[in-house]
Amino acid sequence: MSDYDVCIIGSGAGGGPIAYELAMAGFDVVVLEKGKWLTEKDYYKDEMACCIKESYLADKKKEPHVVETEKGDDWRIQITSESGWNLWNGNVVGGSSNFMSGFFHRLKPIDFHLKSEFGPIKGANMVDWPISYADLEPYYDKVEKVVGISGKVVPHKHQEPRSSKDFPYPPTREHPIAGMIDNACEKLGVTAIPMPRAILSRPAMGRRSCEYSGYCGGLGCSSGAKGSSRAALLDHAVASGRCTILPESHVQRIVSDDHGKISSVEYIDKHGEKKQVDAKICIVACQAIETARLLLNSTGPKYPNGLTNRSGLVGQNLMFAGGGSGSGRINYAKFGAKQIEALRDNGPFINRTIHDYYVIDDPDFGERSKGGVIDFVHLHPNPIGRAYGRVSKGKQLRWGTELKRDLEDYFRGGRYIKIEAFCDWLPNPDSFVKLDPQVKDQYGMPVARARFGFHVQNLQIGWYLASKAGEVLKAMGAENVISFASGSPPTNLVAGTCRFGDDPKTSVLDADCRSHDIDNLFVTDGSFMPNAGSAPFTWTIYANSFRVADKIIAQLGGRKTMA
Amino acid sequence: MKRRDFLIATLGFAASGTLQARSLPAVAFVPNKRLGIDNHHWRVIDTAMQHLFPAETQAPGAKDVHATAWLHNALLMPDVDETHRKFMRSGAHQLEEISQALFDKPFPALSTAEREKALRSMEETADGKAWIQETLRYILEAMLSDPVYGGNPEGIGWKWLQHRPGFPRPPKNKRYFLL
Repeated sequence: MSDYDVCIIGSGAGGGPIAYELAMAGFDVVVLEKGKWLTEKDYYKDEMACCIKESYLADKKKEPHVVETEKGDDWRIQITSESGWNLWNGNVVGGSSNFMSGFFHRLKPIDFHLKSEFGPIKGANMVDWPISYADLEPYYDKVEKVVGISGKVVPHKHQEPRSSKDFPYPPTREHPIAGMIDNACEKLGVTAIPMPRAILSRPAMGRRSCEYSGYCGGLGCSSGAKGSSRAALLDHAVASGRCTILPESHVQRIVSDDHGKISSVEYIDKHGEKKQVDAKICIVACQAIETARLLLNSTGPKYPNGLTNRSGLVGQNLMFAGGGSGSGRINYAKFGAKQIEALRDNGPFINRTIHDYYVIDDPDFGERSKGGVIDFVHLHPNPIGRAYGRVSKGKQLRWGTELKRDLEDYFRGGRYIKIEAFCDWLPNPDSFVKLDPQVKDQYGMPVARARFGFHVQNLQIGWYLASKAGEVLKAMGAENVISFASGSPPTNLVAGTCRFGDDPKTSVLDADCRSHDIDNLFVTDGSFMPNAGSAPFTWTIYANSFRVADKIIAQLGGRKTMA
Repeated sequence: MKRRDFLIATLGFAASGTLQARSLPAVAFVPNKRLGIDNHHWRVIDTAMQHLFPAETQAPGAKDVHATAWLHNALLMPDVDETHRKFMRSGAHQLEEISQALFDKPFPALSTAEREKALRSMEETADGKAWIQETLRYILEAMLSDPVYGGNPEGIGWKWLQHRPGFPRPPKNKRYFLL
């Protein structure tokens, strides 16, 4: 007799839709989350909490990771507790979706068959997906409605097919810079489109509208407008009476029996006591790195190399969002007092994105290639972090009145616009997760060791996109424009490590994100993705998790109650 | 002179054991022995902070935001490990040693130009540079964090840089260490 129908490990964008859908369908669900259960009543616009003290993340001194980065022909190995790296992204109920900016993009049909479209790429493990865009589209649509996405559909050459005519919520309020970007793009013959946001522009579903506080990404939402897994899904799942959330419950391993069946999930509760829970179906959704670690740590009589790892591929094909970055500044000196006041207002969003380069067909670049998207966003407003960034000046430090005059100009003289350019982080043999042979966490379990090798094509596409974005900033009169690409991974956008596919020899999960080896084990975070698209992929994780929820409901015999 | 009076006289602080409410004009502390920084080295740190971020008529400095008290209290927080405390302590000793070596005088007794030379000399070592950088970070925290934490009195740092804080701002019972 199982304690629950479904046990979900991790409460973020991968776990939330399963909890919501299964609870609404009448099944008993338990969610194990290692972090605390914070709500709108706990989230304030507090740079000390979010960013200086990283209060929403696990303590990396107690729970470190090990990272390997390229250093010449060798790999530099660093433990996160003794370096600037931090691979935790949000250890609270709702996971890192509490702290996302909610810049939401669908993948496009082409992303589901990159290998067929562009052919193999030397040094990259490209494969087509076992499902098509058409399989996922109804769930992208569902996310718009259930999680709540605001935006406006504007025709452009890479517009994805949609089953709904427009978004269910109008765009969030726009900053004057949005209009300046539109004008610049028109001059350049580029199409700037409104960026969809997982942020409510009007109250709905028991949540308040965005209050335009000017502090969004990296911080928890105080109004409930941000479509976090907690605010949009788990709160409703709990209200159904069929979803139990166990916060501060750190899962150590998934236990399997002599027949290879999952017998229980072992966790340490908030009092430090070892507990077990069992369920008919087990879902792992801890983000790609921790998901791989948990599976590799969950050895059993039938699985000496880790759970669902007969292929040996758990942890392989680790991906991030590749791309470029940059910025420019609109100097206030060019404007009148009224315009300056409007430009200073950090509440409304820029919300502009360019998809023209999703496929690069440009002889100056080379062969026709998969490209990506460019987002224009506000620079993060956190003042301590911004000011501290001005302390280094080349090899020397700035201080005294020199630093103070620089800060005055930096903060008071203009508004910065940030470029975020996204391309595929090509899956490659030097990007993976394994267990560290020595370093253990506070509970004595081996920690994840991640290698961050990147493919050179990431840099080429990243440079291309970032420089195109730089041209837009220059055309709108921005100064100090810089744009660049980097092989350093943005560790807040992580995917791969449990690729799905039809062949058990070359994939970890089947097309339903069910383990090839164990029929009651599913992985529903970004781990399943064979390639992660050329844009932030949280919307895709949400959509896929809703899709898998339907498969799980079918496996359990169908809905018990109507949603 | 009693130790407490000495502190008030030398650091110019009013007496207090904790981070203060913003209504008080100045903040003081009785150095906690656990940090292992003696009175003289607190003066070294205080002088260094005021040099690194001087008060001006039109722009607040380290003194205006109680940066030394901020550092003292920050180092006592449970999330700060002993290695970091030792690092901040060693930096104060290193600066004093540089001052003695270059000018045969304690750092707080140096002229502005001499302090600049001592700090630039310290910057040439990796540890020295890292200490100055950390000290600047603490000053900026005291200058630009929410006043609920005891620095940035009346939002003086935000007003100076015309920075608009977000909202809602954290109340006392939701400071990061109470979450």
